[in-house]
Amino acid sequence: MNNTKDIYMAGLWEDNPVFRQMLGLCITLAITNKVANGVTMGVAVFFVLTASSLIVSMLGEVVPRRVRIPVFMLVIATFVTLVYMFLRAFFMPLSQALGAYVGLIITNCVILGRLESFSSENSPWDSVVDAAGVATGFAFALIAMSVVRELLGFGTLFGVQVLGSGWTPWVSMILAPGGFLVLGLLIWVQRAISPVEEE
Amino acid sequence: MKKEIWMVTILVLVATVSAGVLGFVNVTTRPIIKKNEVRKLRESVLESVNIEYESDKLEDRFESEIKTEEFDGKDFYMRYGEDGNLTEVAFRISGSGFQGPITAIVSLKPDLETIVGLEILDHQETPGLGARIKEEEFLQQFNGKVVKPKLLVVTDAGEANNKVDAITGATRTSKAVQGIINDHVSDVRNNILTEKVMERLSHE
Repeated sequence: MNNTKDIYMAGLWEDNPVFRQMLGLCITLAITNKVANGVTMGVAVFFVLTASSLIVSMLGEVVPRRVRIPVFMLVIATFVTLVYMFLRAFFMPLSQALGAYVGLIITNCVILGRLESFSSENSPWDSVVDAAGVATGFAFALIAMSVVRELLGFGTLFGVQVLGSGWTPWVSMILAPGGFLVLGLLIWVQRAISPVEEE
Repeated sequence: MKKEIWMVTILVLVATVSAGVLGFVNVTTRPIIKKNEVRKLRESVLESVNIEYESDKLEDRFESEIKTEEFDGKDFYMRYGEDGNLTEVAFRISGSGFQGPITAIVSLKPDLETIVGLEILDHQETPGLGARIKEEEFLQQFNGKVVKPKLLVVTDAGEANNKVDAITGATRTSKAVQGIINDHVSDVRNNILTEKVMERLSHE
């Protein structure tokens, strides 16, 4: 897999972290009840993942195998903390809406998974492309879910009323059950478009 | 042995760089974060005593209308009328909600019983349900209610002067707000702003 476009598209669609690999579901289920939250989280994960991929791939062989996980965690935690301080300083309301979930990016297995399985063994360029693809795929999944949930649960998009005032909000869409329901439906849609080959 | 030393060295190096970067960013963003929090607090205090303000003149408005005094390690925001008599006292209240801490500003008349306004500063309640404590419709109800003998957030408040309507589907959040108000107001009334202190404060 050397082609830049192939690497990018694999992360975005065929190996989509949420719909295919079922990773990072805690964040996905928790924050996708508003589109603004989905977009912010998508951008935050994009930054953390590409930045830590770059660093880890540049460190490459320098890091002994036995301490690679602690090193990865340190790198991820550094970037997540940067994002957290940045949001609190410049986007106070969004940071309040995401609450503890920004901090939880540190334990997001989408990120650790990419560092472990790709960045630590590939060139910096390929790693950044891979990270960007997976992060776009993650953001795409978050936004797709939050559009459905906000629309049905509040009747709004980005907080703007879209469905008329006659619309009765589906409260369950905002809560956890709606998250699972929409996730299941979107996985179904994704698999219907690109079926999984059974081995 | 050489391998072990190398592992430790790498970890120490990565941790040092990380700490350096974070320390630097923390020092640069902290004043901005602090400013955001102070701003939010001042907005809420002004709103709780129904003072209109333009957002670029917030600081001036706050300085000219509100007098801040500390008692028992707690800040109290006093507003005096034209004649120099105390009209409202506001202070921060906080406690556990359904999913995390709720902090709010409550303002009272000098009797320390009648609520003038309530504003939520921070909360982590469920969007669409508990989070509706931030909506005007819920907060407006508190204006003019009395915390005597206790303020009650109930299903059917009717006309009672110490009852407000709870939020449907968010009973635990509503009860949390009730508890936070009652606990803090009675604590302030009995232990901090006692009659003696209020006598001194009542006139500017």
